[in-house]
Amino acid sequence: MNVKKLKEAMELLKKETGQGLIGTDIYSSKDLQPIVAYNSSPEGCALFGKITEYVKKALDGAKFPALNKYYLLDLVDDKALIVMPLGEFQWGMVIDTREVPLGMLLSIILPKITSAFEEAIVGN
Amino acid sequence: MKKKNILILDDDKNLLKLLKDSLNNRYEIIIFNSPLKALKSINIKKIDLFIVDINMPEMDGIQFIREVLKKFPGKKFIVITGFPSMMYNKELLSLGIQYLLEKPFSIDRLENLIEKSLKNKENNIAQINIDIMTLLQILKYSNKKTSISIKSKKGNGIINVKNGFLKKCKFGKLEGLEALEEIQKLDDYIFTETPYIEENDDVSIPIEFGILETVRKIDENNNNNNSNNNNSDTKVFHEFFEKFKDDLDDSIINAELISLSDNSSIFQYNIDEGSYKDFSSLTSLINKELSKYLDTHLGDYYLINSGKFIIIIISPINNYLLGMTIDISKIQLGLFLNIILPKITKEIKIKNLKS
Repeated sequence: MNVKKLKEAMELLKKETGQGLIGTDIYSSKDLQPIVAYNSSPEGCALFGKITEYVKKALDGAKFPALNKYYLLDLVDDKALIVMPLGEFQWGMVIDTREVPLGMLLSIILPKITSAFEEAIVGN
Repeated sequence: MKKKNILILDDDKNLLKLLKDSLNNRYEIIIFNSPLKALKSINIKKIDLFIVDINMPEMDGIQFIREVLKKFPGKKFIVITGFPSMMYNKELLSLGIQYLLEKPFSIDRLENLIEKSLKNKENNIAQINIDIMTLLQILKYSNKKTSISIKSKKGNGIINVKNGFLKKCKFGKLEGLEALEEIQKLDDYIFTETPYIEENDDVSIPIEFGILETVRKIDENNNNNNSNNNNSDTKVFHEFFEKFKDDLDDSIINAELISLSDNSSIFQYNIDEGSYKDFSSLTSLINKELSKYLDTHLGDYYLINSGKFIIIIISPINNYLLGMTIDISKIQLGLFLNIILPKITKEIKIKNLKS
């Protein structure tokens, strides 16, 4: 894992989302320990980690295809929670959807940061 | 007019003081925190009404009542307790206790019971503070022969009970188990004990069977009503689904509507019944965690990317959950998220599916 690249990926997200980024964490799936974070807390990682496990179990139980690139929860007050799992790591974020339209987030921003995330995780 | 003498017996000294201060204007209040001291010190004959707590350390309220009734069988009691139980109810009923008041209670409620009790000349189970089915549950264990008269806004009724059997059951024009079913459904009623007239008996049903049978019938009716609601929702949803299917073209892979009340499948499109059932518990778990960690909860939906598909769970549609799988290679994600999904959730809310 390349921490410098991970930080760059985080900076890219901040740049793309601007005022719309409320908080974000990149953390280990194993112990939910944050590695890079912005405006967040260990409680945030615990929440993201728990929900990811619930989602995986529900998909498995219902015999649906497994969780792939991300899941998104629409929250009250124009907010959205997005988590992207990647191997042993996960990237969770809370976004203000008045600032960042969902279509743009999922179709443009997420693919961009996913590439940067993947590069940081597999890179040296 | 001479004030009535009321003895209040409770091991809680603060409660005794409060009751004395509140009731002293209207009645002659004598307070004791020990049943043994009360039995030794007072002239029971002069007491018009006893207000007795059940749970006391040295002698419980029921024992105290037995001691009093041994010497003065006609005495009146209001029993107060923080721990009502069927066992106590049964015992109190066998002693002919008129009123049971659960703690906490208001002074107004107690005053009301005091007035009723002092006016009531009959030593019976009149207006005991339990519901009629609880009373029947108690009577099923006793050899008591009693007749209960029921008065309510919906009509009047009568139940004769003898040796654990229902011997007569009438409510309005209904008789037997149909009458008992109607009585069981009543919300607001009073019942009193009346003289037993044997020649009126026309049925012989074990009380336990009567109660179980009426509970079963009420459940059956409730299930039929739910099923009727579900059928009408299925029709509404079918019409609605046909409309939004056009918007989604061939990107929709499957869909299912789940009732959250019993986790049953109301409607399926292109998928086995119950495939989305697990998502109802997932929705609850997500909301629980969101509330715990972020003090927030789900909005209208959540979606899960699983390769070329996204699974969308639209959750806040009253008591229903709509699950859909969309092929995102066949629809613009922006179009779906910003135009179609809000339209679906809005229209579902407008349809106001009934639970």
